[in-house]
Amino acid sequence: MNEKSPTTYELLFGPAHPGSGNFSVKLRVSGEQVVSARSDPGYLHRGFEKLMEYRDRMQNSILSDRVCVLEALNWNLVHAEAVDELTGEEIPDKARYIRVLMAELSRIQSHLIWYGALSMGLGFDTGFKVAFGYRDYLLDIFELVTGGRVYPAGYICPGGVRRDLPDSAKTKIEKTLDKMKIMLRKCENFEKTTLYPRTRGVGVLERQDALRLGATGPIARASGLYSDVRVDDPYEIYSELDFEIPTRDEGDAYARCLLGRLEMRESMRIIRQVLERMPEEKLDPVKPKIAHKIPEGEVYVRNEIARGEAGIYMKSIGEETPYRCKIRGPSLLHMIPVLEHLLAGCQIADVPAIYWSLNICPADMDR
Amino acid sequence: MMWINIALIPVAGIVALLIGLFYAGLDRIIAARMQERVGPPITQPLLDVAKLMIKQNIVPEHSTGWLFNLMPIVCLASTLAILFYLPFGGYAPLLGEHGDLILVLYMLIIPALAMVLGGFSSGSPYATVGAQRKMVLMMSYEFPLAISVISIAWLLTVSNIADPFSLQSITKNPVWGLVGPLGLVGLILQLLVLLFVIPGELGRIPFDVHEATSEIAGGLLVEYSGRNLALFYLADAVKVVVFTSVIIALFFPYGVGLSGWWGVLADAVFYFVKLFVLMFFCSTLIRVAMSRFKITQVVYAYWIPAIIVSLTGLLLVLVDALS
Repeated sequence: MNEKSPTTYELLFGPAHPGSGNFSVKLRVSGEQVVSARSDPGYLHRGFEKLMEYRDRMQNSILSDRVCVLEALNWNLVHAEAVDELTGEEIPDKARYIRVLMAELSRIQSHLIWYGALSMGLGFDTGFKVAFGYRDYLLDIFELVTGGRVYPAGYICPGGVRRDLPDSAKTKIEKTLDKMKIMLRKCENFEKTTLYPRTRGVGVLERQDALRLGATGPIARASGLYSDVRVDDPYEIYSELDFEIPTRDEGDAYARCLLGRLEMRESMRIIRQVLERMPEEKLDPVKPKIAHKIPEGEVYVRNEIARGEAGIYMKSIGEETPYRCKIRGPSLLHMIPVLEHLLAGCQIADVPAIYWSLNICPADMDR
Repeated sequence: MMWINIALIPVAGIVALLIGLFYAGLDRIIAARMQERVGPPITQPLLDVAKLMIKQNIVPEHSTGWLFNLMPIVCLASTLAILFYLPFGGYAPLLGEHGDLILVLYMLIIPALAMVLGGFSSGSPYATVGAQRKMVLMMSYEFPLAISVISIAWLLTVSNIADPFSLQSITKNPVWGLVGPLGLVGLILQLLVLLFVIPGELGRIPFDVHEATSEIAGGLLVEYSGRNLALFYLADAVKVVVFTSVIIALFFPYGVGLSGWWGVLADAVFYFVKLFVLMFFCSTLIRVAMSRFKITQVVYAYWIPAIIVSLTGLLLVLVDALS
């Protein structure tokens, strides 16, 4: 079917669509068949890269929350690591543990949103409601530790973390993990009638295509690529921890969804280990310093966040503010080349399945 | 008698609307409890309709205006009209003298057809896709539905019951008493097929392909708002009562069997319990436990397994009656 053929018509999947985020995909459709798809980004552009050039490190730390709403703590961590590498500051041991703990909790929280959004896209209302309901338990932990439910306001900041873990946090996290375990089992029980028939064999991303189009994180791992920054290029304390990187070979939407669940399990393992090994010492809160210059230099720091590989390139010329800051969000490649590649030739009904199985976040793409 | 019946129609219509909304509220609460939520108050559907009624009614620029505004009325009116041809717990239908099973079978199509026309006339690509899907959906479930209904009428014919297509004679002679063990299995299969068809007729998950909020943004209702949407909403609420009432009339026409006013009350309560149980199985339970089918999967589900099951049921009834 030719794209210019008179029998085709244009169907907009977003930006004002209940099934899309702040993002638009222009679909060329013939009957129920999608002939071609074109991503149309830019609805959530806030210009963080430029804004960061005018703010000092602590202010930028708060800005970095907003890069992706769905996993604010992970982005906090990327930013904090970039500045730490420039300044060469020594991070207290306990702060490193707290950083990993919060990053992994944030990963689980983000994967729950992924599961919920995918369920909603497939018309499985229960999955959506249950996932978002259980996410609230994690938000309670965030509120207790950082003071904010969704935005931690730069909790993981250059030089460590803004304040020590409260005494009640450990038991609360353990209780929540037990609840999550039950929830994951429930999701598995429902899978045969819900996710499986709609996602099996849909949106298959071949291994070489995943490499060619630049897929990272769970999307690449679902296509059989063993790649994870936590293992390839360990940061913080990940090299001391014992965890596995699950991979699947199928590359379809179901494999990606399954991988999300397996990763949640691994994250829980990591969190339990971190809680066990957490140093007992008291941590001094990091206070913002005024007129604190960042030494000259440039770094590129990459982290494994829930959606894939996140990176920040930062250049400093010895001022309080960075000279240039480039943010590399994993969704950029997932939402433009990968999405367009997978959508061509599928059915309209498969569009939400493919779209949400890519674990996308328009916010970190548009920045 | 007939004039009294006609005078009763508006009253019955309003009662049916209220019952439909009550069940819609119940459905939402039960679904919420199954999803570990509290859910809205039981009056929520009523409040939704009241709110929609006072909202602005927007008619899109590219639509065929009169058709667009007419179809919600046709949908609600035809749904209510079916109700007047159905017997309730042993009481004769209000318009029973004029219609029979065949009429009801045809009238079941009209609400769906009204939705399709409304969708096409709104001139939106989402609505067009939704309307096409709804037509395919209708074509899919009509055949198994027809087989099931016809096999019951045929059973009455061979049992030498006068007027086999009249719903009243079906309710007076419950089908379960007319068959042997083989036929019993056949009838159970027919009942299962009808229970499978109802979510399709109602357009609930997993068969809500024509609305499919996350795919085509609400499908054929995408352009509807205000009063028109409220009418579709009401029609949807009444549909649940109508389709479950068809099953009750065909398979469970039993009353409590008491006489006097207490008997009437007991029959009514028993009827509502039957409605509730059927609604729970056909709508709420499936809706909570499944995801939406693709249109190809819907067609397959109705054309292959449902038709095989209903034909097997028909064959069993046939063998049982002729042996």
